[in-house]
Amino acid sequence: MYAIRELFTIQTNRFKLNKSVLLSLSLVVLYLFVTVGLPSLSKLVGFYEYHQVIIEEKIDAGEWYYIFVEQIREIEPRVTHSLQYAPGMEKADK
Amino acid sequence: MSIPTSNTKSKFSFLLKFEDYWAIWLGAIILIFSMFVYFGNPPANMSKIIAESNATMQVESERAPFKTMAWFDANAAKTKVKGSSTPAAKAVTKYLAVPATWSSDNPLKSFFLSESGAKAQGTASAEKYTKAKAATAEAKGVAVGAETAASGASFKDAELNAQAKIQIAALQEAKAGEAKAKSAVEAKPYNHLVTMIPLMLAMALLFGLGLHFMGFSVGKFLIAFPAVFIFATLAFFIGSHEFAKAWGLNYVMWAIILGFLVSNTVGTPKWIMPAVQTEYYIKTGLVLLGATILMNKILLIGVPGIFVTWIVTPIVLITTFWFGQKVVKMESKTLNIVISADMSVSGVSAALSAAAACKAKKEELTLAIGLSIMFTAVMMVVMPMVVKSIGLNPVLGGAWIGGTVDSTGAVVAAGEILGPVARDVAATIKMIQNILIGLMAFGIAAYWALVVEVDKSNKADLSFSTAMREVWNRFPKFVIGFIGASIVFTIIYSGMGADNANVLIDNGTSSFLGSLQKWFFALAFASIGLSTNFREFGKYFKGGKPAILYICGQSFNIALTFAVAYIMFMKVFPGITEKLLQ
Repeated sequence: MYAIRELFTIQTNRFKLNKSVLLSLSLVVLYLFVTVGLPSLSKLVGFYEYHQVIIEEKIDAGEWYYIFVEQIREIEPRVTHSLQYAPGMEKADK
Repeated sequence: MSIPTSNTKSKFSFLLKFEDYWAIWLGAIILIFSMFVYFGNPPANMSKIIAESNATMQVESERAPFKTMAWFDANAAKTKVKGSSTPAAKAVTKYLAVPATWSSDNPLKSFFLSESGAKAQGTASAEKYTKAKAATAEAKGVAVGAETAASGASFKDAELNAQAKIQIAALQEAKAGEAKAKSAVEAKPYNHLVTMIPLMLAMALLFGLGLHFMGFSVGKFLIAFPAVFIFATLAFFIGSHEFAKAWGLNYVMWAIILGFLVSNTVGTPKWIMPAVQTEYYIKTGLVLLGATILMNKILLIGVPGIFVTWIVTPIVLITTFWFGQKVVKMESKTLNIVISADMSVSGVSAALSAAAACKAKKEELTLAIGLSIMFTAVMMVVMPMVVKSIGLNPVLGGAWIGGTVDSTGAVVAAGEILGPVARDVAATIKMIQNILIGLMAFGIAAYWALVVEVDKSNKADLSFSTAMREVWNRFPKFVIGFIGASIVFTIIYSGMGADNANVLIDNGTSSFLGSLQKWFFALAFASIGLSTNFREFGKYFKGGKPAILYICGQSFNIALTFAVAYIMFMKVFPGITEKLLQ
């Protein structure tokens, strides 16, 4: 009985260890996916040039609401002023 | 006297016992604090700069048939006045920083930049800055000459006017390049780990306060909270990689994935679970989000903008939901509405609001967000390619992108690929669409309480008052805080006037609330990952129906948005298009 119990304990521990290894490996794969995979994927699918523009302009394309997007803070007044103080044009549309 | 007091206590004690009410109380505390910091400390000379800039733009718009250099300078001076740049605001917001952008060769930069590192970065960019300054000076000389020549001909010579317009545009581009180079030269050292610890403690105490009244063990929560906070921080870190940002894969996705990895391998340790409070974090974040749903913005781009956003979007939302129920035959109504909302309105923000309003399961929210992120990553590059290839007018192309690409960041990115006019129009259209989520969430909450949940429950005859009480019981109460915050801030915005509100709300309270919300939502998504079994997803993705619904709905959205944008911007209101093209 003792031997069987020990055997199960060892197996359980090994199983736990395997899960920890699996987690560690997953985290490494995740890191590699971001640092190596995403730039490579950009090149592979032909998005690299566009992604470089986005990176250079410091746009966070994942931001999902207008207040999170830094560029909006300049865009909004520019659009408002373009319509409000439109040079040399009728202002009847607005 | 003691009896009525006791009755009153028990009558209102529910206000301190439920998560929805605590989301409202915490939201209210934060909103009041933000008003105190930003409204109480306006930037120096705010009114003077605004008045002078407006006067200059008015005079210049009447003097010349194009935007002169003085017009652009006035616009820039006004835009620089920000509520977030006051010392009081800076003292607060420095504690809300998230990990910075990093590239594969230097991950540490996300958290830490030393004095020497900042200096080295500045030195490396110095040459670029010098060149950029020289380019601006040269462009300015040419632009001044061109504008003087046009002015000399009393702006009557079309060729001189066109030449001046081109040179002034070149000057603006050179100035933008110089500003970018300058920010690289002026890089300052930082250590985000130092500011994150006080933030973590403040958030733990804030949420712990509510949990205490709700009957949870605050001690256990405080022990567990740092773990969830670390997951949120790691999610920000991964999402801050330059290519993750370019692909639109931000912390939302990584928080869920990191949580998944733990919960589906070693399992989420039990001691962390007291801080896994998905709905509490989401609802509090949404109450804050309410304060940024400013109805004053819906007329930003005039009537065409209303048609492209507030007419097309609800039609697409309702049609897609109907299509999901009747044609695709979605198993879950809540999954159907969350996908319909995120696809038609504005991605993650709409999915979150819709999911909270109809009490969707966290797996359904995750699935809808995953679909949105994946399709957006592709659409934000493919859409501008299509616009370019068919040679669309940039205003029309921008409106089309703004109305169809899900997330605001992706819309700005897609617009940037097309050029400044398309980018500005796309971003403005998306911003107006963002404002729709308040009404959408209220509509969904009301529909669920009045129709869907009634269908589920037995339809025994109820008196009117009993029926109303039932509806009230089913209605998610945090939505009241969400809508209430929107109404209060919309009224304040109107009271201040658009110019002052732009400084104190758009560039003040909203930027503070936005930084805090990001943390709340990161905690929420990390909690989702930590409490979700990956196998559960199989049943929600049965037959690929969610993807079919998304694709069909988005196809309809693309077609209808294009048609309405074309009619509005090209046929009905060409004057607005002309102004935007300038």
